Amino acid sequence: MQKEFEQVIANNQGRIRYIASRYCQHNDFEDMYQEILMQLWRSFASFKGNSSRETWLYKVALNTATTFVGKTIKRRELQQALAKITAPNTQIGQESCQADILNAFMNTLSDADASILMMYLDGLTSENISEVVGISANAVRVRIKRIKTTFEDQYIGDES
Amino acid sequence: MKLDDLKEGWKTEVEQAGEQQDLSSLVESLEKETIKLDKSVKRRDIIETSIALLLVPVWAWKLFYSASVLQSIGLWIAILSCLYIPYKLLKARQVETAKDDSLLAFLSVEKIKLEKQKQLLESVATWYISPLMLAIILITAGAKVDEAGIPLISQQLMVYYFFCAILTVGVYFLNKRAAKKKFAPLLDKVNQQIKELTSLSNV
Repeated sequence: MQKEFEQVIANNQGRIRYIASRYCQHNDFEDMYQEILMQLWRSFASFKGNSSRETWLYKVALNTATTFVGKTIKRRELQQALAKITAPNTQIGQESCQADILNAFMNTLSDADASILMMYLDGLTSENISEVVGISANAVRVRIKRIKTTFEDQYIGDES
Repeated sequence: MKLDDLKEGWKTEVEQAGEQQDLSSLVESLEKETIKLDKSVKRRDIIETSIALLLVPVWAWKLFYSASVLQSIGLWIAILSCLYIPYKLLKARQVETAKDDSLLAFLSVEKIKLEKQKQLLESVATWYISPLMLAIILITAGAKVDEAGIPLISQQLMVYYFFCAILTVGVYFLNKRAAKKKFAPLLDKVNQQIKELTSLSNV
């Protein structure tokens, strides 16, 4: 199980980091990141594959991030283990222009819209997103359309 | 520029992040930390309950040697409080499970949980402090009574009650503050999230 979980983390580290960085406040990114990893580890054993792995990951990560409160207990060993990993940027691809635009746009959205946009960009279907968020697939589609319109209004004529 | 243009960039960025890294030590630490955390939560629950429950036989034993009716009443209140407090704490931690594992369902359950915990702290005076203080006062005051059963309160006892009163007020305000500082902002955050999500349902 440990090896399988390592693979899941390796494949999804960018997603987890992005969610943690989107929801964190007052420099509690590392704490939130650790908490998401812990919750993923906890629920990994009970993951039965009823939904896709991406759907499961988004559910656990978003549920943890939305209700996260800064931890007062520092998990030293876990912090050291995290430090050993060649840490990618906290914010994804700051050197990339597309990432800059995406980050800037994400910051203008509410948490709910940002979560929907993340999953949409990740290729999840409206049905998958609806399963994660808990609203109808139709509502998800309407929301995505609105997000698209807002984005195009803001970046119209921008060919970067 | 269209939103869909960002899809490819997003995919590349998030998928690159975890490539070729040895995560075995991280997963080992995760496992250890999770076990440690679970153990400490279990330990806290056991300590909370056992301290209260272990005091019950002590109070019950004292009842046989009670100096007065007043002290007996105090001991009975102490026994009932020692049974009621762990029950109240356990009950507050019991929350119904979400109807599914979506974010909206999770937040709804979280909201109930937070409201319960906030209410528990705010009402600490009624279910925790008052019965225990009343028991302490009756047990100590009833230890020395005259022939008519009227307590003989010494000066030392008055000083003791004074410090108990300060402690009681302190505990009350600390809990009120904790409810306001710890749970109120989180509850606001959860309510805001629920509002955002339900507004999406109504589009």
